[in-house]
Amino acid sequence: MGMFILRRSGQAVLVVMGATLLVFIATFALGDPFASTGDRQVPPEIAAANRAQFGLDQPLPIQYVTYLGNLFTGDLGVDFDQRRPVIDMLAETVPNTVRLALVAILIDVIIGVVAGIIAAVKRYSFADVLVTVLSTLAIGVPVFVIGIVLVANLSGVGPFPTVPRSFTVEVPWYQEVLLPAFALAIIDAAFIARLMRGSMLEVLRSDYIRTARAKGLSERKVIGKHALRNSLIPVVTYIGVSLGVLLGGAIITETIFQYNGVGFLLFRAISGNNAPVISAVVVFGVLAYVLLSLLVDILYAFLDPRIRLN
Amino acid sequence: MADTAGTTPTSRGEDVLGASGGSRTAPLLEVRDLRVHFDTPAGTVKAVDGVSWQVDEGETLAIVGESGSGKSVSAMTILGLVPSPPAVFPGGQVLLRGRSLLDMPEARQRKLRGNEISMIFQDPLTALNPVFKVGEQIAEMIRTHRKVGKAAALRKAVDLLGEVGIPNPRVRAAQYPHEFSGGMRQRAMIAMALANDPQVLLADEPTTALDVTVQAQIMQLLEDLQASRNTAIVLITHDLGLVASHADRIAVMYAGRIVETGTCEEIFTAPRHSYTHGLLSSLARMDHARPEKLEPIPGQPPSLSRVPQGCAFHPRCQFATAECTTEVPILVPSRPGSDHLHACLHSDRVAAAHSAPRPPAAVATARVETGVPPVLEVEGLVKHFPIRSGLLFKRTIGAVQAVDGIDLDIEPGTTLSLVGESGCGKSTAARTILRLQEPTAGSVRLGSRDVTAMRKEELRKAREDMQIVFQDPYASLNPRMTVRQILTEKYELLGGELTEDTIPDLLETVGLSAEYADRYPHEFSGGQRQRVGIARAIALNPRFVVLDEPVSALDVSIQAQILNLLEDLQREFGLTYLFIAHDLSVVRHISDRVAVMYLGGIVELADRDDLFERPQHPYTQALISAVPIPDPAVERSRERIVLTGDVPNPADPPSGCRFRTRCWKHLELSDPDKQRCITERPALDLADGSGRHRVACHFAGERQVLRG
Repeated sequence: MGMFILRRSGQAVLVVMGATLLVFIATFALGDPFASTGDRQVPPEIAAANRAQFGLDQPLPIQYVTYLGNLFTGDLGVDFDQRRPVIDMLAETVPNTVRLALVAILIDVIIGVVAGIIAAVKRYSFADVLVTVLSTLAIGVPVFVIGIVLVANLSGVGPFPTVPRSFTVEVPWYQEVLLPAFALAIIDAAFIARLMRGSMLEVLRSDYIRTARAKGLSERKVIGKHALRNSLIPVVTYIGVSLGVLLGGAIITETIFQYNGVGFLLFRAISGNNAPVISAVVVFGVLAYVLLSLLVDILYAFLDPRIRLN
Repeated sequence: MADTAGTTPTSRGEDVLGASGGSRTAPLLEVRDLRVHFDTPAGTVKAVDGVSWQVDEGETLAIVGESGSGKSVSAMTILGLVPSPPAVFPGGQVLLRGRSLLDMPEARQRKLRGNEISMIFQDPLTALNPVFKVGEQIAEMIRTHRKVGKAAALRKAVDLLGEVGIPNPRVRAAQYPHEFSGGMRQRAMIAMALANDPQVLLADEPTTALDVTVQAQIMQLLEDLQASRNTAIVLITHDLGLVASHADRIAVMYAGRIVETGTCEEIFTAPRHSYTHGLLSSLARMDHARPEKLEPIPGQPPSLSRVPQGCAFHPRCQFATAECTTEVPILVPSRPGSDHLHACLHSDRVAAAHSAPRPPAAVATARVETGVPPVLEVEGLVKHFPIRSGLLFKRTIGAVQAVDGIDLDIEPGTTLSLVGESGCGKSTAARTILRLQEPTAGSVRLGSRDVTAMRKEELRKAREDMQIVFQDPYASLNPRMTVRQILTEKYELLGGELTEDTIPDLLETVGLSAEYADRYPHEFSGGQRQRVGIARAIALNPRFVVLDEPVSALDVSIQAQILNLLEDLQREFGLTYLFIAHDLSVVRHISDRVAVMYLGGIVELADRDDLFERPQHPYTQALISAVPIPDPAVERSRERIVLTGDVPNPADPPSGCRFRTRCWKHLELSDPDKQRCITERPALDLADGSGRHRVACHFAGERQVLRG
């Protein structure tokens, strides 16, 4: 176990390093935030001064090493636009994104797993057909459509805050998070329901379920104890991946709901060619993803003792 | 019999059982005229169609049949485990001490399951839930039916594991199923099944997935437990050998019905149904030398949605007459008042045929000409699979020693069998000989050519001369290619003259009609697919063919067809076979020479009759003694050597003689002799003056294990 975590952490470091290099090339190396474009004319001396201030006049390898060094010390730099420390911007948005991701996952696991179990156990019943049809529909409709429909119909109604957001009205986080979380959860829940149904059906066909029935266990125990844990294994992978993606910022959803998470931050940063922010958010996303897949692997071993982590 | 002609077969069957049961108390478990049908889009599948039997305390009833005969479904029905729909139960009763099970509410049925009636299943690898500890699963069985605390149930589970012969039960109870070997898992299943002292144990092919030496252990265990608990056992199996030594009474099923039932003795010595006779004549017998020809039952078992009119067996029956096609024969006593019942209109002719001596096999007795240069020479063949581990960069920390130095020659036109239990390295050896896997060391010569030294292109050309038939005819043919494409590809890849007649001729050679050429593999039965596999192997007239368990996935009646075909082909084309098998009865039938493998090495190598009649190695002796022989008289008088424990890990084999950890002889030795086994690895030395019998044991010696 310890060995496994050590090895996977080593791999994680490599992945994050690779990600920083790619992000660095994509943001710092391939664009000049102080260049004159279109009607935005920047006097050469001011541009040069700006570049010097941000270290952009150094050769690229040096810039990268400096960037890495800063990253390790937790110094993510200041943004090009308002000169605020990027770390502060992350500190402000990450908790929001974490809340959003967790609430969304909670909703979709509950809906998805329950719907999947019902569909599998009552195979070919009305409930099963309903789950299949609704999940196909949910997967087919893009998240921005769901988001826009929700914004258009529900924002400002009841507990849901208005969109566009007013920055003067304080809204408790749980009211703020509900609609975007629901928008995100619909599609994931549909995926999980299908995954759960398939995996449960397969498990129900297996010999050890027959054994469980032959023991005289009630159907509730057969499903809830013997079948559930086995059929959750593929679902856990999906949840892990999904949570990782959400933590990296649900750009579209957060933007539609003007939800102040890392996704919305990234959207604004990209619009403004704000390299330090872009790179910080992306590196954060990679880190979150890598850590979660490690977590999923450990959870695997907990669910399935055949997987011994070495 | 005339007075029963008008009654339905089932009412008659009931009468017979009712009459015999009338004088006794009600039997422990009785199945009366059970019918289980499945409504499918293809029509009604009559999986069980009027089956009656009974079993009493301490008695073993064997239900014998091939796949699709309905034997498992009838057992599952007793436990209420056949889901309905799709199943319907148009008739019949299951009575446990007079209580009717089928019309009982589900909640009450559940109270019986695992409590009064238990079941063990074929595949112990999948029958236990992989995510719960073995002890927990047994404790759950107890707690489902008894009011005991968790700790007490776990203690009982540990006791049960000890009782079924699992060493260190306390430690083992806290382990997961994957940490158990196959035999151990089946023991754990038995412990679980017997946890609540059930009156009836249904055993559905309990040893089919296990090696013979483990099978012997498990059957011994079941018998011991039955003796101490007086449990009734219903043994469902396809293996007549197993039945001969372990059943009191036998019911033979075919296409959803019982066609013959009687005591073990009656069924084996005086079968009265043509199907029973056919099954017995198609069996290869280990205690008979080859001169007896196998008489396969032609054709294959019917699909249960289209059971033939009249007697379901008539299309495959050598005695069938016009009557058989119209009239469904009913179960009648073989003698007035006898419990030996059969449903065959031609029982007299069957009786006559069974007592007549069987014709000799077309192939002459095994005699190998010495002095002829061998077709295949294997020297010091080694195949190790490295085990790698490491933090970021893997390094080799050991090796699974699958094949660890074997030497073999095969003379032209003969068959050498490589036998051993699963994991002994026999299949790896075969694949390494063909260089489907690269050998770690050693050399293989085919004729005058050194296979191990060939370059890639040369090797590809040489494949023309060395071919393989695989075990699983379902997985070894590409489902997207027709038979013609499969066979044609062979010629295209390896070169060879392909005319319009080639494929039809080839198909006819393996006993398939030429018009099958444009069908896909899924349109064939298992036996037919294996024929296609054989056609593919012999397509380019190879000299040497590896047969890797070619019949072990097939039903008994089909096995004989394939074995006869392989013998015919060998005679016709002078093929040289390397036959990989675990079934010693088949090996006895088909081989000229036999090599016994254990944990990567050959422990004994001899001409076939020498090996079976005069085995020298303690492992060979144990292996032969563990194989049941389908003859109750022989079985009763035979000595059985039951090996203890499991095959050691091939990545960490025992020092010295690899077999010593399970060797019965080792235990009898003096300490200095034991030391020799531990420190010195025995070489494969000549055992007698003939120069053809080799054995790798420091203390080799004959022991008669085949007959009493």
